[in-house]
Amino acid sequence: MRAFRALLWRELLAIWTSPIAWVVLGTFLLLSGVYFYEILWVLSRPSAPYGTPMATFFGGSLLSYLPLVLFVAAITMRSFAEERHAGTLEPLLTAPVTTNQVLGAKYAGAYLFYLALWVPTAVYPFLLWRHADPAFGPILAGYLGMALLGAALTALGLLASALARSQIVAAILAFGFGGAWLLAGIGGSVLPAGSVAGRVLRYVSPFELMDRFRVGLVDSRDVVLCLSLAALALLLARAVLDLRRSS
Amino acid sequence: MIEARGLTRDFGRVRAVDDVSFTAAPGTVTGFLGPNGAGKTTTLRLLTTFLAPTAGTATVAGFDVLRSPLDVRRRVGYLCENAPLPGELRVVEYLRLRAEVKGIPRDRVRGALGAALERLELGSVARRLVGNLSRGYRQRVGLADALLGDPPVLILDEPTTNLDPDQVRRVRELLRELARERTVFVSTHLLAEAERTCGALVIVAGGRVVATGTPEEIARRHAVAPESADAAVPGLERAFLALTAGGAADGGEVRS
Repeated sequence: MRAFRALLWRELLAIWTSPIAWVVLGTFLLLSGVYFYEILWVLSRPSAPYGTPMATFFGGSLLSYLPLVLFVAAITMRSFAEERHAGTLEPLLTAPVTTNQVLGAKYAGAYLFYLALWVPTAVYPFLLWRHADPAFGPILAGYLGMALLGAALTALGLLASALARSQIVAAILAFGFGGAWLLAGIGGSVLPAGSVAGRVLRYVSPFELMDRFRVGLVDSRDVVLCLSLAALALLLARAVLDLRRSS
Repeated sequence: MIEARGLTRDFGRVRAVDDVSFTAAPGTVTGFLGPNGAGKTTTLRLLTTFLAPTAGTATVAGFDVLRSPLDVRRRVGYLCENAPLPGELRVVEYLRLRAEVKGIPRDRVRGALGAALERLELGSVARRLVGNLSRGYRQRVGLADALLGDPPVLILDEPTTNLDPDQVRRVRELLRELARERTVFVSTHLLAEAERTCGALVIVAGGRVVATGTPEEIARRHAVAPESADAAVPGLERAFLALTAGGAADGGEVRS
């Protein structure tokens, strides 16, 4: 546990001292701020469609997802690819720690950063509370949905970084993995509802998942889906690291 | 103690390490000498469990590199090629991190850090960011890291690279001192370095071991008779050139 804590501290330091982290944080807050403002502007018009600001904020459109996929790719790309490029992976993997500890620390570091991205957005429900009477249940469920989505995306990003030799390739690959997940969701909404493919794609669709979370519906199937995807990606990342050792 | 038995490592169709066997024992610095691309770094990576062998095995401090990699890592201080270090940490932060990762007991961390900093004369740069250090200082930080926790086996890849002549001399003395009670296995492509530091040599070429023994033994066994132009070339150098010029002969030993 002590070694894991030390690895996590090193990971957090590496992330928070990199310019990429601050660019990601700044851009995320700027985009989410503008997006929230636009949501308020649209919903305050007399002809506005039905919806609450925070429910729209959490996955109301593709704009909620695409930047997220990009930002997670930017955070995770350095995890293994940069360490390999700089040669610092060797002292790390020859220290008396297991591959799982290294992987776990890198995942935890990147995921904590992802969660930190969302902390300043708490100001939006606070503003709503000051001027209206929002229901906090759906808001908390929306945050939980975003946290679960991030858990899976971060693991996919880590897998990409384990696979790639350069940060840029890792970022593109991570964006590809996240993009494929979004495309699966779009496919689910386009294919006939009765078809097997349509049913499967709708089950794994991040849009349908967030549609439930953002209205306050916490379905254990959605939780299991995100956690399973994260676990699968981490297991594959672990396999890639082991394979690199032996091939 | 390090015992390699038939260590082999392929990268695709390329055989980087080919049936390498040798023993390195405490008491003297063992040099792993060979020209560039001879498979030195790959062998060191196999011994430190960074890579797994395609065939063969090795025991380090009594533990098999394949079956007990964690036990091996707990007992090895390893300096990687060019001492890659994270630039965002201060020297003392990096060494503390490594001490934590290596599982050095809490009450001994401060002492271990102090000893490592003092041995490598890093006190004046302890608070500086690793990324701002010269290559020589980085090399010394890497060496300090390898010494942390007083491991019974030291595996060092080109430990004197980037050091100034005075530091090279001090590191040589340090290695000889450390080797009295530990296994110190040092890779180098510099013949003079090996000759001055090592009491035993393992010479590799083309991924294979081509000679083992003390520098004197190797010079005696393998040095070809000097031609008039080579009369001034020392015996070990002539032996090294003879051993490595044609690559490995069958059987792993080049006979003069």
